Amino acid sequence: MLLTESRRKTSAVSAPFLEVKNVSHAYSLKGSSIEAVEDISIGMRKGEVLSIVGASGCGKSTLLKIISGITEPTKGEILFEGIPQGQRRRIQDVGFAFQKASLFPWRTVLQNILLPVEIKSKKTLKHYIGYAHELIEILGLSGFEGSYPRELSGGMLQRASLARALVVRPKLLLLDEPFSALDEITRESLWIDFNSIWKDCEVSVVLVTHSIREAVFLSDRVCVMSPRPGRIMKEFHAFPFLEAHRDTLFRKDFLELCKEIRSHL
Amino acid sequence: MNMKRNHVADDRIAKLLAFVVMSAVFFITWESIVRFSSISFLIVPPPSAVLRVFMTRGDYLFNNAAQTVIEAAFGFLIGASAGILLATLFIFSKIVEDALYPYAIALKAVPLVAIAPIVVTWFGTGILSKIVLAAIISFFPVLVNTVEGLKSTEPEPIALFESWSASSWQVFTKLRLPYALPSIFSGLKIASSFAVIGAVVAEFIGAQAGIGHVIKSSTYFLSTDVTFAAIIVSALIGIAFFAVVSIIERKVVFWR
Repeated sequence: MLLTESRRKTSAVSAPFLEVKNVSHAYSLKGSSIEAVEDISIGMRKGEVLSIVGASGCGKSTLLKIISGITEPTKGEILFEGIPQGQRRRIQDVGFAFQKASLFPWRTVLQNILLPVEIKSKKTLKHYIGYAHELIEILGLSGFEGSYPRELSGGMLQRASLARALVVRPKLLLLDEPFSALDEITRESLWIDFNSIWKDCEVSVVLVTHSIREAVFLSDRVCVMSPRPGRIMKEFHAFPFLEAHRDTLFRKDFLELCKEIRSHL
Repeated sequence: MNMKRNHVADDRIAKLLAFVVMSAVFFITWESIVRFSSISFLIVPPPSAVLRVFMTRGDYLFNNAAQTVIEAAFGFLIGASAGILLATLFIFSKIVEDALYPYAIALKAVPLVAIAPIVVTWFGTGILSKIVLAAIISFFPVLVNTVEGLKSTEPEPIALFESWSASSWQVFTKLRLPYALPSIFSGLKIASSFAVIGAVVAEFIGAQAGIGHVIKSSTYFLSTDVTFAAIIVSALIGIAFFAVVSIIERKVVFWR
């Protein structure tokens, strides 16, 4: 029942937001060309949370870099709100967070969060300070604005890293295994928090992960990627974040979907 | 918390005590061996004689030490700045790196004492040749450590900066350089003691003043007590240089 509701919710949103069209990418290693991802096509609607699951080295991170525009694909194209990648100004559109929080130890939490704004233009910095403080509060980092990263726990570092990704109000948030370096308890509590944060910030999310539970729990849709060269093997409609709370993780239908996805990996 | 602080204090006192006891044993043994054996004071002076040099000829030692300090300090500043600048250039231009790095490595392999006479021939027996030699020897550790430090930036932060469309200058100043600072400072610490060696070696070859000059001239006259005092002074200068850089490091690389 809830599943069909979720499908209706996502399909009600208009216009393709992000289109990955027949994207392939090869890189050369010691003279030979290695196919990282092959003929990938994904459509995504605004407000959607999409996960890409696959084993390590299947090209998930490469795909994410292609979507962000950091890497140019050898074949195919990316359309972002109908505009080809490369013709748009990246920073306002995309926020990026990685497995490693990558906070800079010489900057305080607040300075770290504001870094993308500082890179973009120092003049606009003051317009973002209010929003940065808002994010700090939403992410439960209040009181740590002036702390340095070494004073924070792994979970808090990851929260700060997410705040940094969100500070420019991106339309699309790209997450590369952001929770995989955390312990299970911290990870699950972040899952629950982040679900409501994504909703609050009205951001669409592409999440790359090797945790099936994470993908099923957090996303509207899960794409399963094959080992190198990475291809999208199958797509699943998963659990919408509206109903996400800890008990879901132990529900029978949740576990069954995880099991089915596992069988395709 | 309080207990912990006490432990730290106890630890320090214990360390200091160990050092003092060891030194006392060492100097007393040295003094007794020299006094009660047939070794001439001209070959090995007792510690008391060396101490006497510090008391009676303190001015002489100080003035010559000051000369060496100035030479080493200027040489260090020039060599270290050149090392950091060239490393920066290497990061921005691969061609420059490919063209110059082999020369830098080759020059590094040449022993300092082998080029010292040439440097003194070219730049004279005054202060300049000492500064040049101190600069040459400080240059390499700073260059190598800075290049390594600037290249050690992890791929994830770089991808982040790329996703923000940062310019290469922004990547350098806001990411690579701060990332490299710990490594740059290890280079600077090595170079700081090297600079003193460079100045002293140049003074050996030809000089009118400086601690190297004192060491050399005192051995001519078999004033071994003065030689020993000068050796101690040269070590103290090296330690002081190292300490100054370490203090600056703690301020600059505060997150370590």
